[in-house]
Amino acid sequence: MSALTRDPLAEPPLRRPVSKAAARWEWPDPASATAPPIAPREAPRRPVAPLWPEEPAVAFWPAADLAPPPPAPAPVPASTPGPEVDLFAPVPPTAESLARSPLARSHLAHASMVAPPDPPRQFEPSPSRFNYRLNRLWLTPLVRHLVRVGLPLALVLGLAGGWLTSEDNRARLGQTVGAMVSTVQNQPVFQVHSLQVLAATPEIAEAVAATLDLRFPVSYFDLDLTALRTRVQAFDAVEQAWLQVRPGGLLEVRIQERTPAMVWRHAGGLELIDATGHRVALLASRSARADLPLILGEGADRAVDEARQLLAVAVPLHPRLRGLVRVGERRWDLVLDRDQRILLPEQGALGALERVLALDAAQQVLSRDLRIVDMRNPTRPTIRLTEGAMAEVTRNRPTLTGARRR
Amino acid sequence: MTDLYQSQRAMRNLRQQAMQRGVIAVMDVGTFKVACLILKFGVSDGARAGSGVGAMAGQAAFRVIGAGTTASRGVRLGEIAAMRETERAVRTALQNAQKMAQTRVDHAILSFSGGDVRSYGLEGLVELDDDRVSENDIARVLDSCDMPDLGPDREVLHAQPVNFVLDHRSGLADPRGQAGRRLGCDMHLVSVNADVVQNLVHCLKRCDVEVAGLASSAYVAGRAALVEDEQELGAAAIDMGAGATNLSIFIKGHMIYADTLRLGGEHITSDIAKGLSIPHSVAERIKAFYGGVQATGQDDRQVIDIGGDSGDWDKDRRTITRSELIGIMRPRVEEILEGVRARLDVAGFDHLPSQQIVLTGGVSQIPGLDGLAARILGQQVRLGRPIRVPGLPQAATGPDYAAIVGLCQFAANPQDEWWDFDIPAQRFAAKPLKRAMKWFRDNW
Repeated sequence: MSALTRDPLAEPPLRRPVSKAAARWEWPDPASATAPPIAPREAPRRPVAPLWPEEPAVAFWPAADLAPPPPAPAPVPASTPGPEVDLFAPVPPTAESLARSPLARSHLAHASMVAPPDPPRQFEPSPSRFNYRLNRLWLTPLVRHLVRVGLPLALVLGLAGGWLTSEDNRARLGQTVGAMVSTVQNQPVFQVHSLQVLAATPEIAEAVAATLDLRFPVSYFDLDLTALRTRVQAFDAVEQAWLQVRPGGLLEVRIQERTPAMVWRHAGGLELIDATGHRVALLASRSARADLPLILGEGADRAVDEARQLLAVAVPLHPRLRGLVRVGERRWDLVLDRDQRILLPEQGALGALERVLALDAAQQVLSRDLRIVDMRNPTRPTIRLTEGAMAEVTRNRPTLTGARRR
Repeated sequence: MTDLYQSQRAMRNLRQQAMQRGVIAVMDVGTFKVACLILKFGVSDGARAGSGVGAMAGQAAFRVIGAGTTASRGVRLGEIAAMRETERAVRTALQNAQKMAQTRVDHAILSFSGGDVRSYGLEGLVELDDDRVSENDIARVLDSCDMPDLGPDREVLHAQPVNFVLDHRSGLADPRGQAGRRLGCDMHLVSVNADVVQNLVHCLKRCDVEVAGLASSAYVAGRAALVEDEQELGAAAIDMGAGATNLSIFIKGHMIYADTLRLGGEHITSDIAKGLSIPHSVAERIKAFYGGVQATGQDDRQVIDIGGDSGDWDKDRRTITRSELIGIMRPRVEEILEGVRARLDVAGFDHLPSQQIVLTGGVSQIPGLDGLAARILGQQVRLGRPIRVPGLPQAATGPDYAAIVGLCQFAANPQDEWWDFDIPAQRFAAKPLKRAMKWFRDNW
């Protein structure tokens, strides 16, 4: 119920709205009047079933009255005599004759009257109980999410899973995906055409190129750069390597080589090793790298650090130094010319060497006729004379002792 | 009585649960329309402190997120006459509201105008155990109110403590913690026909919605239509619905009287339909568009086409003037207002300090009603619209929605009822003791 405030003065007098067609219609001359056509109302009525089948089903005014008169029937030509009709033969009943018989007529009329009427078309604004419950179910958040997210997800997963259970399908999927992947990977932009190895020594560059053993063109995606790098770095002479695919399909390998720091002679022969003790290359002869110091003995490469420190300290001895010998994989010997040796201890080898150098500087110990300066026991440095010198000492001993004893 | 107490407490718990969950429906099953609003709670904590906006009677706590209104079916005089039809109407309103809110509701607070509301004033008096009033004393004094004979098949709908008396001091709103010896209280009790309520509850249950509260539309319409000072100083709210006219008298913020008159807009419509022999729907339309109670000269010239659907040319082109329509409507409106006057006189409304009367409800939209009502009810008559609540659609702000808007307030900011207090300890303890005694007797 809602009220509307109206201003009656401002309003036009209330009339039922008149349609345009109705407004144009004029009342006909009563003398020649046929009844006005019945204007359709808002709800057209269902045609009423005729009570009698003879009656026209339509309306009060038969359509025949309104229609133009039918044309006069053409004159019938004189009938030609046909085959003679048997007047006594039984005539099959026609629909017309049936309709004329009273029983059939009442039957037909009755049938038309009891024909089931249309159900009343009443507008029912309220939702049905089922509809209402469905609506509420739909408004339940859990159900809503299940239907909107869970169900499609389950459907897609189920279909995909069902499809993938077949071995053929999986194989076909794998093939298709593989083909697509290889198509993409074999695009020209991803092709690597050439290799460039940048190394200081051409031999190493050649060796690396040979080791990589790449067959160009190759796709960028097929190159395992990490593995290639490991392979390059497996070379003794290579300290570090950088691999990079340059634009234009160039695989660039930059190599930093190891610098040989020492020559190591061991049971297997001569080797060049770098400052960390890592093998660099085989060496044919010592004279090929006479500029590098020589170390000897098993395990010498593992003590390269100490050897380098000792060499740095033993600068005054360099002209006489032949090499360093690792003894028992635990300590160093300095080997000088004239078959002299300085035996250094395991611990504090540097200090011991410095003491020897100091002795040499003060008393020219090493220029004397001795074979070994033994510093292995730091509290008791010992020297061993050469055999000639020893004989000289023993020869003079009585004199000496006599002189001493007085 | 304890049964009712328990069922009301159960409904209150349901209501609190629903509010904590955040969504509750309020529903007004009327004779002309069934309206449903869906409230969302916990939208905000209310206005910021210092913003100048008051607490707005707790309304800031909720927001209307869905509204559905449909023509009522199967309801006569505010009571269900055809259960299935009413159920369909309730279903329609609920579904529309749910669709708008995009959420489902499982609990609804219900108001209705039928059920022959009767109002009782009760008194209780107890001696205090302690020297101060405790919570238990309040429960005791409420419990000590002597229950009137409500008659067969009647239930208590509201039982609100209106006033407390401590020794010789009256007019206390909250006596807890105050010193005294004797505590008395005045309680206002509203009873309704139990079957009417049962029908409504059953109807909602068939719609898969649980009733989480019941309120008389007299009470809730008064809460919505009376402004705060009117509620404080005293006023009568007259909710003129289609099936029944409810009146409630408020003073000091509490309803102290409620009554119902089983006459309403539906009677006006049926008068028009009978007098003009036109269909009920046309009569309703004519009443809404052209109705009035004060005829003027202009109304003689305003012609109303009442038509018909008979196929008879003359009958389908009948017209009346507006003054004829007013001539039909006015006696019935006068009858309603005189009935209201009689009820107010019975209630002793003229002894109240304030004689303010607020007309609300759908019938109050008849143009010129305030002038007529002023002649019958007294000079201080105004037309009341319900207060505004957040989110309410514009279409539901009219006086015909006073009851349902009041129901929103009832949900958001309920007043104390008897069952909001615990049962006093001595009464509570009786049953378990009895059970223990029985157990001993049976087993030893």
